[in-house]
Amino acid sequence: MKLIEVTDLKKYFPVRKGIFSKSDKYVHAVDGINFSVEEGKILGLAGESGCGKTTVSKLLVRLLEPTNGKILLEGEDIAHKKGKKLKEFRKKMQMIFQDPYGSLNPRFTVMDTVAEPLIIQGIGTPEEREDAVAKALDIVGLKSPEEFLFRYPHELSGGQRQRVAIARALVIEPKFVAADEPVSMLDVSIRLGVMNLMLELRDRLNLTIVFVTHDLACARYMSDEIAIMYLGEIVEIAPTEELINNPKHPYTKALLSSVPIPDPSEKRKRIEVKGRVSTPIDPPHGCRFAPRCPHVTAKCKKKDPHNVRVSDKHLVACHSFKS
Amino acid sequence: MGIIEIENLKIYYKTVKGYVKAVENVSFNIEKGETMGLVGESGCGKTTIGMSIMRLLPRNAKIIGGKIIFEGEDLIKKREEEMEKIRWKEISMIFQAAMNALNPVYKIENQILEAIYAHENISKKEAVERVSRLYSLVGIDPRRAKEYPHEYSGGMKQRAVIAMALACNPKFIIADEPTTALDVMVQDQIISEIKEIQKKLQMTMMYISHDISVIAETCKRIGVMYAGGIVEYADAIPLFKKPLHPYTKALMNSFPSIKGEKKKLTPVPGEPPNLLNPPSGCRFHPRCSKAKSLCRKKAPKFVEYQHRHFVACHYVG
Repeated sequence: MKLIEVTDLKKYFPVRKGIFSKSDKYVHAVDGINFSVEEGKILGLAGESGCGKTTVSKLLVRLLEPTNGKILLEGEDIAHKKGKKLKEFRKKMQMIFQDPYGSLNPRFTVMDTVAEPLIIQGIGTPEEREDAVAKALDIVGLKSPEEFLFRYPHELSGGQRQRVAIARALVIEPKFVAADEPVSMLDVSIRLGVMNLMLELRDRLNLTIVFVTHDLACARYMSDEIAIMYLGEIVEIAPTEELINNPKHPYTKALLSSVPIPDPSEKRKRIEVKGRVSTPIDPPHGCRFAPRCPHVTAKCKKKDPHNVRVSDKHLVACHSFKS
Repeated sequence: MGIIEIENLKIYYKTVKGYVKAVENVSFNIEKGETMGLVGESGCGKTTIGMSIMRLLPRNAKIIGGKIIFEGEDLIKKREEEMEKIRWKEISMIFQAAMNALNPVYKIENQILEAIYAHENISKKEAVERVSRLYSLVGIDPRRAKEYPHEYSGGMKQRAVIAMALACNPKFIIADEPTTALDVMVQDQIISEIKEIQKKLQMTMMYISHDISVIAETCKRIGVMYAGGIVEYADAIPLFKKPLHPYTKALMNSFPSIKGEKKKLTPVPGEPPNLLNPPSGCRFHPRCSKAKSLCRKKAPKFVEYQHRHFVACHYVG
């Protein structure tokens, strides 16, 4: 079953020159993307900084309202829900943020932080909430929760903070979690612990996760499927091993070829890509990657490429690929 | 004989809670023309070692003991005025550009010129020419030298910081996380440029990073640090083929890769210790699966177990 399905999702931000001037230009942060995630699966959303992956994760949990498009959660469109109706849906979806130092209120104890979603949603009595908090902390691997309940964030290590942030996301038993670079601020040995925890929770609670990352090795480790974003668009989406071993889009190929490999006897072939990412302010027609693409043709600059089916679940948006 | 030899270096930070034992009995040497990598998690002391060689440690840091021998002379014994002549001229450092290594209110050219004038008595014309040469070397259009840092992209800023480090033809360069804040593709370009420049100029380098894959790609010789000490020091290929220290093994097992088979990885249990009160004996023992009672009591010696392969563990192999 598709738990979440996104069609033609767009988010434009106005560019203002001054306080009073009206904006006539827009940053096309997310520009017409489509994907769906099956229940209990993890989709990795990868790309370089500024490609719009964080905006997508915020749209999915409706921290932002999309400019256009549909977000179906269990078949119901939440793209433009407001107020009470949106709050009802928030029980089903939660977010984990990148920086565990910034996402926890320094004046809240762990108990306050993790119980807050329950209080906001009006779930349970204070005793029941305390039990739910203790259970959530136990689930995220903070064994003997009583030791942590009344601590403040500054009394926790980075890994423990991120576990608290995960406990807060899970305490109301959501079906869907958007995780925005949840491990990029953590040290190597702790990073792996948090990733393993998320995988384990997915199995145990049948969670559906969109895992946003710039690190393709982490994306591979975590995801069932990977979508590669470039300048607001998904250029390629495929099951993880298929994408890693058989990439079709020139950008995906270049990106994969630039990932360093932890083995000095391995020599990798680099694909050099010229120039840098162009601006997302009112981008011209045609393929966004065309100015940097080694296989560019005249058609690429005129016409937006449509998704071409490589195989059943492998889609690529490139003119040069013929199925 | 190495160009730089570090012997039993010990550095503590004084804090209100007591002494943080940041670097404890670190010894290694780097041969001329070699690229040495120092890898470890944050807080393991790798930057402290780099800063101590440059004598740029913060004021609350104190070198308790040991020697930093550069071309036969102990840098720790040098007076500040003598160090000023060595710093940047003989030994320089590539900082992480994202961490404000560039002054935002000066044109980049002037910042590089400042470094050149401080050490060399040359005409403005010569110096400006050198800046353009450096810019071509690191792959930026020399005409852009007259711009301010905010006009540069992240990758260009990092290239400018590299140009600045090369300004006085140093013999030894310390690169401290030079690509950490950059996007993968830019990181890849910078790494290959650093490697090329290193080869071309036959420089000796120390490359500091938390990322074992970056170190694997750039360095011939690798030191693995944990909680203030080097636990293993060896040539890159044997180190990756057959790591001897349990922490090195664990660290290599903590990195997912895009190559090879996808497998489940197991992290090191626990977290790095607080260096205010480091564990007794071997500092890794609370997290080590092979720890025995000896490990709790006695710190292991750093010995050459095989040719050019040093390790600090009671139960090697």
